[in-house]
Amino acid sequence: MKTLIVALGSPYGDDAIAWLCLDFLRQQSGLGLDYVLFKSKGNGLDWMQALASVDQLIFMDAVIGDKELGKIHLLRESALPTQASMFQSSSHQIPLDQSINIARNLGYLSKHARVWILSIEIKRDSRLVLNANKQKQVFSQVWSMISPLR
Amino acid sequence: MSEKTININIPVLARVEGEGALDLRIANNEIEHLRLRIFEPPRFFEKLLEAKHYSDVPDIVARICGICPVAYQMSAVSAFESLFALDPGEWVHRMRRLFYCGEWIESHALHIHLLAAPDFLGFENAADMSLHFPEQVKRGLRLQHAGNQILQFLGGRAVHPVGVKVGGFFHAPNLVQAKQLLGALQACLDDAQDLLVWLLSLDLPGEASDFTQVALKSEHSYDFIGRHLHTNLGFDCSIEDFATHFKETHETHSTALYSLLNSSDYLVGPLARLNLNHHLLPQPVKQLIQTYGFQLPNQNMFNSIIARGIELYFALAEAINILQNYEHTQYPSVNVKVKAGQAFGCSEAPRGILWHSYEIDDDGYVRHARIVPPTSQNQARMQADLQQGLTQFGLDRPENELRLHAEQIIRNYDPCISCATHFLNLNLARV
Repeated sequence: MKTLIVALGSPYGDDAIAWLCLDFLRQQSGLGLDYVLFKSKGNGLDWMQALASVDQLIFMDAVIGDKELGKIHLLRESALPTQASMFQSSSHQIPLDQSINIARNLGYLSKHARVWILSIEIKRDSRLVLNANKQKQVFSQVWSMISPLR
Repeated sequence: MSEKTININIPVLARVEGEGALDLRIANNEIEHLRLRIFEPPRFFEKLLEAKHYSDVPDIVARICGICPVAYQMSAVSAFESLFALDPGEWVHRMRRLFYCGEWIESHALHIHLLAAPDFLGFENAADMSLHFPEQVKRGLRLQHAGNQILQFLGGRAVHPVGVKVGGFFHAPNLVQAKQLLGALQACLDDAQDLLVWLLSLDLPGEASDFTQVALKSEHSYDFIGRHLHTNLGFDCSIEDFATHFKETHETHSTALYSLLNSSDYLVGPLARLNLNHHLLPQPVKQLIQTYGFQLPNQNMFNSIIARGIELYFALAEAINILQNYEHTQYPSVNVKVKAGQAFGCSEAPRGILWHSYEIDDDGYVRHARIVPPTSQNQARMQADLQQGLTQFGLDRPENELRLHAEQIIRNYDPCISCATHFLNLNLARV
């Protein structure tokens, strides 16, 4: 099963955590050749370039949450907030639910492809990217969550 | 008199950048109160720039906007280079022009296909449009990607590029990279022409109206960076005199400043540029416009989408032209000698003129910064256009039609409220 993992983020602060997770995954020989890894640089559409006959799409992103720094939530596509229920995070760009729909409507993404979202919790007043131990835990959790999705 | 009050609330004005609301009160079929409110918190970028070294400014201002970082960088570097009496040379000037072409292509392609076109074709959003117009949306994505490739070529990455410095660029791409990019852009030229033909076939609303228009003035080419401004009323001034004529005021309902020219609203952006500077377009672009019968100057604001299509075609053809003559250089920048004083820079962001002013000390540190982005310049014009456009549309129309038309008028300006200081809540009271 071919899987595309898209890390959404930037080089800045805790927004970089999904990119760091992708760098970690890239170093894991156990990941296999069926995985395509892509760093999305934030315009909401660039990940479509990496789509080629994938059966599964996994987005990783930092989210501000109220549980625990570094806690990971595995969400199905249906759990994505829609435009009607949230303020757009960057409205010049296309919200994630819409860009997934565009990819499906244009035939870039199979109608049957599964979509997952790995949300990594960050806080406004702490720095996950500066906490090596926490990061190790996050990498380990990401690996353990992605492995069963093969 | 019986009184009927109706409240409309749009929780999200999709497809614009920033947070805002529109209050509208209609009494006796006349607009009694109309207020475009921008409530996104101010971002204090000018204050953040204080005490920063001039050399850090291009990277800091690039982060003001994810859509027009090149404009912020170009206005900043042209300000410093003017103060330092520095000419970075022909290679840098050509590459800056190429860099700016990339930003216009990606920004215009995004706005045309994913933000504005759904309005004119009757769709909620680009995802719905992509079901019925898949080839057009694919074309938009290809064109946007082409623009982003130019930004990566010179800026290292498409979002918040980092290749720019005062005096030039940090590196010169090699000939192989230039040839690859040239091939990618040439493959998109038919897309850009098809786009223009498609835009001209759209049934666009609106009527011609009179309004002041402002753009950079140049002598020989359709320019991105300049030192003079002019209007359709015959007024012109140097960018050093901008603050004398263009006055920013604070309105209590808006966190973005209102900018007025001699106390009047004015338009900046693609339609204003094209109306004022179309004679400077290269002959093949002029020929294309004539072939398809688009009249310039053009006073219908809804034709802004066509102006974007024309500028996109121009920018793509210009980028190809620059790359066909690309030469690698060992010296992508020149040395800088700092001088204290007041620095002024101005460039044509995709949405219109972006004016920067910096006060620099002897060591090159910023003492004071002022940035006037296009959306705050267009804010008063948007409000006036809403007043006129909704009246022309018919104030007795059903609320949902009034709301959609108001949104279309605002989106048509491609406002970047985040730059100026994100959705529209329309509160309509009809008496």
